[in-house]
Amino acid sequence: MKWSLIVKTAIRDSRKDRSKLLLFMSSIILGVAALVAINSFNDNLVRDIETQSKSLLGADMTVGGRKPIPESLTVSLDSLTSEKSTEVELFSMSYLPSKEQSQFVRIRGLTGDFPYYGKMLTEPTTAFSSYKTGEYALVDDGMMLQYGLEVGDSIKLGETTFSIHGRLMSAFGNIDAGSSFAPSVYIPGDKMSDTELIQPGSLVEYKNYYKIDSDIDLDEWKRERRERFRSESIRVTTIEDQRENLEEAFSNLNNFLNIVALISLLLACIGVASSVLIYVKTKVQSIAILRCLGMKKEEAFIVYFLQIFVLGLVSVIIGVAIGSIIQVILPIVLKGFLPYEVNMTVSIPAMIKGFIMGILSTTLFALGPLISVRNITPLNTLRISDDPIKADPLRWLVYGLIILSITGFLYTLTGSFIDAVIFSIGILIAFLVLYAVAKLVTWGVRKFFPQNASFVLRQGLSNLYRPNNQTQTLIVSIGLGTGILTLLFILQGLILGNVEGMGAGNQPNMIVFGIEAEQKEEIESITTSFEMPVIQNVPVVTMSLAGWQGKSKKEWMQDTTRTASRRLINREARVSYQEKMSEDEELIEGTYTGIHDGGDSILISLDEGYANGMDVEIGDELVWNVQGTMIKTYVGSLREINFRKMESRFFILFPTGVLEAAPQFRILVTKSPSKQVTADFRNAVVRSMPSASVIDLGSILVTLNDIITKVSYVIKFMAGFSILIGLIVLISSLFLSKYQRIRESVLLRTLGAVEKKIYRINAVEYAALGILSALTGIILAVAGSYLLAHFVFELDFNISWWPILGIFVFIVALTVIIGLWNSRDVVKRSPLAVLRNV
Amino acid sequence: MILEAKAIYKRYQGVHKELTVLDSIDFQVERGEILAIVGPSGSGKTTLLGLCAGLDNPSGGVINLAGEPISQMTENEKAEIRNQKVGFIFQNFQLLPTLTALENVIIPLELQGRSKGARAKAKELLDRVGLGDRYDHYPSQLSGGEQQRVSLARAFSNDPEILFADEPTGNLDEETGQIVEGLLFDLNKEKQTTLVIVTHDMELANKTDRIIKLKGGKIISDQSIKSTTLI
Repeated sequence: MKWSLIVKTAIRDSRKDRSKLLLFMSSIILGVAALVAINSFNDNLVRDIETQSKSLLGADMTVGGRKPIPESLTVSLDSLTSEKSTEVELFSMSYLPSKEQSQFVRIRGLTGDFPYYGKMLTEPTTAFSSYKTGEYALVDDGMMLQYGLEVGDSIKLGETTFSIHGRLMSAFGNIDAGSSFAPSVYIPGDKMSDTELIQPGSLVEYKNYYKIDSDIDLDEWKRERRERFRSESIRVTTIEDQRENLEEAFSNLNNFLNIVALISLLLACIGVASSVLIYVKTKVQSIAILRCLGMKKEEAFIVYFLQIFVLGLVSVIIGVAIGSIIQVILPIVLKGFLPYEVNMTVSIPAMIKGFIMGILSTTLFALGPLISVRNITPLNTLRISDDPIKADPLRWLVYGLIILSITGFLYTLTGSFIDAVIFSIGILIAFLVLYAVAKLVTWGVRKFFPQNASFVLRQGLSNLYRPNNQTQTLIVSIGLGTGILTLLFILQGLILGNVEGMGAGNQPNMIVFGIEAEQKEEIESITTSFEMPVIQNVPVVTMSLAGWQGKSKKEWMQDTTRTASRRLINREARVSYQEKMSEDEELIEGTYTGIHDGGDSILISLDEGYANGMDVEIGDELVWNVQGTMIKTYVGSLREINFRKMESRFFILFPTGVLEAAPQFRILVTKSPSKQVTADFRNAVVRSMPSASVIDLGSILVTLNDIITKVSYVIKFMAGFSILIGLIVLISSLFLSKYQRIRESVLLRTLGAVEKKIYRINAVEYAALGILSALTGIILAVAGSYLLAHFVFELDFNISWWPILGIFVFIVALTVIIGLWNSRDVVKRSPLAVLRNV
Repeated sequence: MILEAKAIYKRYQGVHKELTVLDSIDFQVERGEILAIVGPSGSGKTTLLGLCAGLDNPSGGVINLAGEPISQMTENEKAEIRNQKVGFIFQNFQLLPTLTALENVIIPLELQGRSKGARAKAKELLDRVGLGDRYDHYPSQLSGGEQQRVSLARAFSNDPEILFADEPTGNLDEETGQIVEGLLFDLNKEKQTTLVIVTHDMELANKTDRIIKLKGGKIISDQSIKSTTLI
């Protein structure tokens, strides 16, 4: 190999033609930028989940349950570390003497140095370190603002009055639901007993926080003791658990962003392949001359490979830089979007990954068309040939490597080999379908050619199958591009649609619970007096499962063949009874019985998931212990519950006429128009029914709505990248066709075809190609998005067809316009000038 | 002897049947000889030139070029021979459009690994063909005659043992054609190179030592201009 000559020739040969590779470069730059931006975002998210799960948990491990942790366990736990804090937590109403108001609060009595990680933010800042010295309380800032409380005011918790020592600006463990509807109040742990709130039957949560410095694998430690913790009903949470919980919460967003990353890169790769194909076509003659002068085929190949590789390298570096710069912009886009602070910093692993993937994919996709350089014969110097360059058997190796690299890339994104293989097969199928459609079109047009059609139509259509036709290339590239764009569009719509369904706009925002049965009318009248709707006012009866399918619960628990879930068996069931099913629920199987006819068989309705978990079917017997009374029921129907509406949903529904006499309370769901009304309503309820508690979902919903808005923003921002790349690919695919058609158009011009006629012939060809490829791409996208929505995102599949029709029209119009734009170049120049340069 | 063709066949697979383009071609060319291959369009002239120059492989027969059996060589071995021993002139000039005139002339030398003195030699050749003021011009900035002169300079730059010219004046007007023709013969004489010209221009063919006439893929006459010999 004459390396210096190869390098020199590569530089010389490229200097006048670098602009021809502009599309190539822009495809790579955008693809890699999207990849780096998305990966950096994901890295930042994961890294911050990792670090912040520590500060959100505040300790290395928490151990908690509904009863004090037994001595036998605390000994084993204490052997791990000496750094321990304890917390006793309960929900209760508080009284604010200065305001003569009550509020349902979450009281937390803390001892020890918790938190070990992160900071408890208070105002004044020293309040957290000094509140344990007396009868002091730290009160949630939101609650203090709501009631106009000041530091130094009093708050009465049970039998003890505490002085408010500071405002609580953030609290630990606040991502669970409890914190959302009851503001936190911290008191010193040793003062908890003084409140006398802990009585037999009180709902108390005991929690120990541990800081563990040794190298013990806590997850392993936890696994080994799993059975013991379970039998004692104790929950152990490690940082790893916290991280998993957070990751799960963001997994859909993550999946979507990963797919955007893959799509961006794939589109960029199509762009790379078509630009390189164009480039090679323009270089056939030069390569033939070099070969004729004695350059070996490998050397000729390396000359062009070097050009592409170096430009690719430059583009990848620019792409990595742009992708990293986007990280600087993202904090603005994402401000307030996440429940915790994500520090958007440049992620070196994402840059390295983007660089490697960029280089790898650029190289492989460029190799596809580039490898044919080896087969350009020096004979081309003697005769200009229109024949396609002979296919190189090595291309199969390249295709294999492409499939492997896509699978590998998918593996790094999904972390699942099976998923990666399934996705790769999907992409391969899409490619093959498009190729088959293209083949079918060339065969079909030739077979059923409209012999009597006009000259323009015949010319345009015959271009689809004549030698050197571009049907396969364009249908595959435009079809794949359209398909990917449509897929992205549909998925974006599905995710946003599903998320928006949970939005705050038309959702209830207030729940009153603890209403006694006889207060049903009273609470309704209070609600309507505030001109608020009674969205739901339902009875709740608590009961537990005593047996099913002819066996008692005890017998089942000893049965090793039992398939029913232990969690479902042991849980206290909150059951309601109603005549009609809620409109949002769907009957899956059986008949819903709303009124019990007084006979022996009480037919109840179960949620489908609950029935599956219990492994029961229609007709199976279930026996309930309703506070001492046994009630035998049969499964009469199965329902699918829509949990996206913020209303009370019941896994188990009885018909009316059975539970009316049982001890019960009611839940009322309503919607408050403003914060002021919420406060007034709350006071009115607490005054007339002291046992009732009012939970304001408004603040949660505002946060949720804000998050949803930001998520949509991020999704649109990221998807915008892919759409941009898709358009570049479309343009480069069509530029490719320019080189195929230029000579024919010029000859037609020479033979006297007027401008208009050439435009029309080309319009027919491009319209046919646009229609066929867009249609095939859209069909593939609909099928693909259905599978993705169903199996990956687990979303309802509901697409709107008008925007898709819009995409179709847009792609066809774009194909025709760009196609005609190319012809314009031919038509405007003199045939002689074009012929001389062809 | 510099070139020997023994029982050469060239066949292509047509749509319905096999097409014979060259049939039983036998001839030899001595060193320093100037030979013209003539014949009507489609007679197989360019195909024969491509085979003799090692640009293509025959379907049957043997070709020895400068003592090397090129018909049995791999593509890369043939490329080596072309670079070391062969020069080319094409009807449509075939200059690399992205290279300047000087770079186009240098490239065969660089392919030989002779970068030392290559520039001076290329300049000397360009001066010799009258393009001393066009070193840095790109092919698109040169006229047809100038492009063919660059092509001539390139053809002689690697001191070839044999030069193949395919219709060297075919794309030029008469006056320019004659200038190029003169330069070709003069340079050939100076460098003592064997010259094989494919042409249908009998006037040009008559200026050579020997004329091989092709028709329908067969040699119909092999005539020495000095001592008429018919086969």
